[in-house]
Amino acid sequence: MMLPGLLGTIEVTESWVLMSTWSTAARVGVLLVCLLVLGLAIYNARNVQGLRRRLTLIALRGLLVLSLVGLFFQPALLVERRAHEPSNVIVLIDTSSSMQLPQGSDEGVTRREAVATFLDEHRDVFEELSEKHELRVFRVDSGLEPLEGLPGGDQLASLAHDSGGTRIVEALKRVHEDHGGDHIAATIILSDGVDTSEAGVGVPLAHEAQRAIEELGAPIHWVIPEPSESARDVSVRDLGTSGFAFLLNATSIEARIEARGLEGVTLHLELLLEGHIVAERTIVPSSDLLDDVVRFDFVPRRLGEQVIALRVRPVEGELNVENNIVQRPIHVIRDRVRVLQIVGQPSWDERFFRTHLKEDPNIELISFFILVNPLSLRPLDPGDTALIPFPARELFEEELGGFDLVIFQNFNYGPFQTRQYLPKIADYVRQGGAFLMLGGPLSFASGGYYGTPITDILPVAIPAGFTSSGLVDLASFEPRLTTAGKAHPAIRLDEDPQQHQRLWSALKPLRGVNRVTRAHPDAVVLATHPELRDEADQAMPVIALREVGEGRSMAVTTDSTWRWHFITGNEGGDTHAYTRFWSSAIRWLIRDPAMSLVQVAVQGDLHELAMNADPPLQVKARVQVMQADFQPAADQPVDVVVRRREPGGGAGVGEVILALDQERTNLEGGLEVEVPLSAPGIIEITATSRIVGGRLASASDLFVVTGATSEIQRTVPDPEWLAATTSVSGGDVQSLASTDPVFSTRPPRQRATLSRDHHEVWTSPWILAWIAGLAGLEWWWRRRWGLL
Amino acid sequence: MDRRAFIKRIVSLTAGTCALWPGPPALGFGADSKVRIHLLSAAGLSGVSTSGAEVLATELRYRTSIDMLDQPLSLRAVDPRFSEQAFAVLTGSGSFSLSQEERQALARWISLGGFLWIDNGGTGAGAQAFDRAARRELGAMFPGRSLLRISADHVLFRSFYRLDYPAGRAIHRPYVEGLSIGPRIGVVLNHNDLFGALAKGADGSWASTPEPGGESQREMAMRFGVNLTMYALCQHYKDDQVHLDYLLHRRKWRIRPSENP
Repeated sequence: MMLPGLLGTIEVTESWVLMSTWSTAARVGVLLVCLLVLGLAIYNARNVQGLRRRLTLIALRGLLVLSLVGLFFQPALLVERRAHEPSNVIVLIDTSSSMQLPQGSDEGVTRREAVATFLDEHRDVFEELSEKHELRVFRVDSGLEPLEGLPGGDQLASLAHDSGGTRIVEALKRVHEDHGGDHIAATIILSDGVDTSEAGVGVPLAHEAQRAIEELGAPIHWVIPEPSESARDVSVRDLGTSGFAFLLNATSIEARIEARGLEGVTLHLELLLEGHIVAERTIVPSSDLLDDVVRFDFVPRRLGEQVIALRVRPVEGELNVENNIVQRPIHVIRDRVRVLQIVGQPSWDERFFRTHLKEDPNIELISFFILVNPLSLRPLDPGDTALIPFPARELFEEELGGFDLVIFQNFNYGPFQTRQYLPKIADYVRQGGAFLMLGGPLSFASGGYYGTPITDILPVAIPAGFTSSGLVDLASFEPRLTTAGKAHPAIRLDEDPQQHQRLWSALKPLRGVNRVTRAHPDAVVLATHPELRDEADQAMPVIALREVGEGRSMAVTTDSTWRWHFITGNEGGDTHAYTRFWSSAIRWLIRDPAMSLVQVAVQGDLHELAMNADPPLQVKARVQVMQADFQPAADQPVDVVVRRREPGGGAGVGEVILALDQERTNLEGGLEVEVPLSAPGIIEITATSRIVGGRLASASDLFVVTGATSEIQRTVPDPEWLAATTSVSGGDVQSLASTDPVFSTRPPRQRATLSRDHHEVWTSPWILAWIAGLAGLEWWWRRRWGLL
Repeated sequence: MDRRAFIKRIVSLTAGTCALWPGPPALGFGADSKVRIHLLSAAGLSGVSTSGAEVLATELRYRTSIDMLDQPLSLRAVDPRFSEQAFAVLTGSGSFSLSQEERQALARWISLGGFLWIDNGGTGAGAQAFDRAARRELGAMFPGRSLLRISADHVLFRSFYRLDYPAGRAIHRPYVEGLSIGPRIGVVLNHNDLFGALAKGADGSWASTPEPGGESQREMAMRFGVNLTMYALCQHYKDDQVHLDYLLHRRKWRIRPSENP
């Protein structure tokens, strides 16, 4: 008998029970008497002629005794009517975007189509279940939504399958919370078997998953695509970064790699920084299922916001290649400026420059001074001195790349077997290093650098060596700022341009200068000699800068800037000019981002956002442009380009999604740009403007827009995880291709017994008639056979 | 270190110390870029001889790469030429005094980075009077600060030579005292008449025989003079050298095979 589901069902059962309340001793006594009577009956029958007669009499006596015993125990028929709770079968249908993928064994059929076919072909199974239980049907993806009844294949096809996640464990929790008081007989999950949340991985089960299944208390039946040997997929599950790294410092990063069906296949992993491969590894899964954490080390060599990505090269026949890459923003900062100072001889210029470098807490200084006179007539016993050999090979061949700035201060390379390393220094600068040459009697042409690779990176050309005394000029002089020098941040003594020039004019005269023949065509001359002329009859450069490849170089052709500190101070003047001069120069040489005339910053210090954020985020970037004097560049034309890089793409490459030409800055030199967001990816904002003498200055910032990444990261189910869920719940994993699906259900829970009726048999007159009949029949046979 | 690296180092050291061909001619910037010993003059000071400073300057030129001028200059602290160098020696005997203006100038000179070497060249009462005057003047210039004994571990004793004690014409005290200005020593007070050990007479012979060590003590005095001058120019450079290996390899700027298996 079935009642409507809300009332549950009523079950009627019949069973025999004994109504007697005799004690055990009485029951045993009665049974013994019965046995005695039966024994006597058999004994008395020994003299009866004929076996048939004997057996007839014994049988009649036995039936009589049995009937009396039955009467003694008072049998009754118990008729019970019981009510049961409503019983639910939960059906979860996965409508996440991964259901659009091929189901594996048959690439022509999607997972969604396989589910639709299953629902159509086995509708009878669900109808049978619905006779005993109420079917509650939900669609599940990143959320949970009830459906009106079990959908047909066509109805399922009309449902959107575009969610970026599948949260089945979360759905089970919701079902329990919403139907906690109801009885759930079973849960059937039509899915690809992947829960993309953190609870959907790991064996033993995550605490959240274990608890959700236990609280549900019903068998879980997964119905998933047919496991196929051809289903192979590798995905980068995660790329763990702290969000920042230190420039020129080895940084470790860990990536979690999952691979299914790729046992013995070599997987090529590539770590990309701004689109360039910085580390590579290969791994070979030793089993069909790989879930491993792989560590990479890389060295960031550029400051600023960048994108680090881990990519696995696609494998032939891979189910989904979109999950082969994960990218994260990483901010590269500088810990300390590492400076290598090489000095040809102790001098006051060296003394005060070294002190300046040592006193700067942001500088890590490594100095090498040549202390021994190479022409010494006083042989030194190495055991008497604290001298160490000049470690030229270690410095210039092994450790050069670890320095942010290399300084040659009055250093002549000749006597120290370093000529072979000069090309390495030039390469170091071209690849992004910084080089500063300071003047002195052992520097520039006097140091024998003419014709060496060093001249290729210097901002100035120098006269040929081994000539006359024309290599240096000994007179005092007051350097003159050029137009660039009046504005350039590399030698700025004050932010105020007027004050900057006043401070320069107040500096103590310098003494002695190395002659140079001209400035390099790419160089920016900041200060010149007031009297000496170069070979082009231009004022001879004294301070000059140059961009060399990725690096920078600077030439200061005197060894007397220390006078700006010591002599000025002893005369009661301001010694800060010396400190500011060298601090500015070093900041420029090492490309301090704060010295850029154009700066771009995504507002809110944004690094990463979700494409489908609710409410949608409005992203704005602010461009700040400054004049060469670092005053706001009002009404300055700026070109702004917003690009969406392809996964793993580098800077300046990708689809242009916004281009602003010659936009004008406001009075504060600022420009606000609204960044359009149309698709996930790396969004790079680059601003360019012509400022000093038409020279282009540019800057960029970027952020990552994430899409349905969790859904595409894992597309192949983990059999161990599925088995763990069924082990806890008592369910099973079945195939969508199954021809005879069976879903076990939990017995319904009894809520109440409505009635109990005892129909007593021993009180019936027919029982008395039966006993009397047996006794009478025995009497009649005995009389007939002459036994009475 | 493998054999090849060892040989290279030996060759490098040899080249650094004994190379006969120094490369291109080092055409100097003239007197302005050279180092000169300034002898500080003070009222009442007696027994001042430039001979010891001349000998030291010559030896510095011979032994080290410092571009030295042989002739010392005797200057008062207020002389504008005094601040052309950041190294000065106050040597002599007996009591002396500085004017208030000289004290201010000298205190500023030391604070800005100058290094003053006070060498007590007196004997007996003259030495005591010199010592008292030196402490009085330093106390007046740097109130609240005092001279402290410098341990034999200090970089002063290994800025060029490895030394155990401050030798001079005599060994009155086996230590020197120093006045700290921040992380550096701005003033060193030597009690053992170092310049007396280096002084020569008019005939070019040594003016005295160091006691008790004789010529070897004179050599040790010379070496300590070299160290003091080197300290004035290089400060704690040699302290950095102790940590050179750590400093050189502290930054992991490249991936070594073992770090990325």
